[in-house]
Amino acid sequence: MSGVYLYALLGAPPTCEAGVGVCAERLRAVVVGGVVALVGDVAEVPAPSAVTLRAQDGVLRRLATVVDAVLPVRFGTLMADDAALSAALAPRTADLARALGRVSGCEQMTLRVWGEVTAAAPALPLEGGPGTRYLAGRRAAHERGRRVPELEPARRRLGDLVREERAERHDRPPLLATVQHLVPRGSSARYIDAIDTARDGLRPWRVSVTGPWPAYAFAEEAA
Amino acid sequence: MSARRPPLDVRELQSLGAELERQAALATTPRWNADPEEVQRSVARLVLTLVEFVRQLLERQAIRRLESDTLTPEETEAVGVALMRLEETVRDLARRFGLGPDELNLDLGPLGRLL
Repeated sequence: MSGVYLYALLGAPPTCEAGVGVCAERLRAVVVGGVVALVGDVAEVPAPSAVTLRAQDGVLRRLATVVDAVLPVRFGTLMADDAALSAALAPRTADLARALGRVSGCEQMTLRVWGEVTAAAPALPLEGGPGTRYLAGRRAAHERGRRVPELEPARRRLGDLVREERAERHDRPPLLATVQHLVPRGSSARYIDAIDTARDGLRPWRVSVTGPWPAYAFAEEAA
Repeated sequence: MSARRPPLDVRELQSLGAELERQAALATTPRWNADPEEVQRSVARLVLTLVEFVRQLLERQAIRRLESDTLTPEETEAVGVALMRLEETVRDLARRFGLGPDELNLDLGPLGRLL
């Protein structure tokens, strides 16, 4: 099915030619309110593969060199035409503008936390009946799902380099958690230095770093 | 990649691969299976996914009320027992149809996953 393939939402039109997309199509900008959608006209949705995913990542990286705010859109997002795209974006332009402001001038670094055991969970209250204890356990599980206490020594080293954090616990040893950090563009070397300095303090846990990436984990609004 | 960064070992790479495969499987849109023997399981999966969605909403609401201190101890106990039994029931029914916890979900396209 042919249509308009959506790559990213931008805070401003690219200052130079946006180049070509995953299907070698010419990229163009569609302005909806204060939001710019970068699109390509394609004959069909590209099949997900290492090649097409890398190609889409390449488009986003290229954009980041000419536009401050880039919100990546989920791979495989196809709209029927420009009118359908505008209709989908128009009611959400205020939220999208806020999201663009958040990622403006930033890129993503990804930390994976490795180990055989997780940090000790806080003790649950023993008082109350089974329902009260169950609810307390679920509350603790919700909080734990959003936190990675194993990383505290690294967070202290990173200081104000991190603008925002997204954490996901896996707890499938040795992979314990993935943490995404939004950092200022161009600060990845400082970020890696800070993590390397923190390694001794992180034991018995290990961390691996990848990045910089486009702000994939901070683009929920553009999904 | 910085030369100072210690490389991942084989187990770590396998663990990461398994997690990526798990997430890729979750992102695959389930299709309706017209095989008569699978119909019951497909219907059970859809119904249990919706029940699980409602259960998680109720749980989040209960936790919010717990955190804002608007539940009495008696209400906390009653809500907790109800949610606990609902979770046990969903798990039990899912097990009977051979459904794992990760299978109780729906892909809503551009909106992402239901749960």
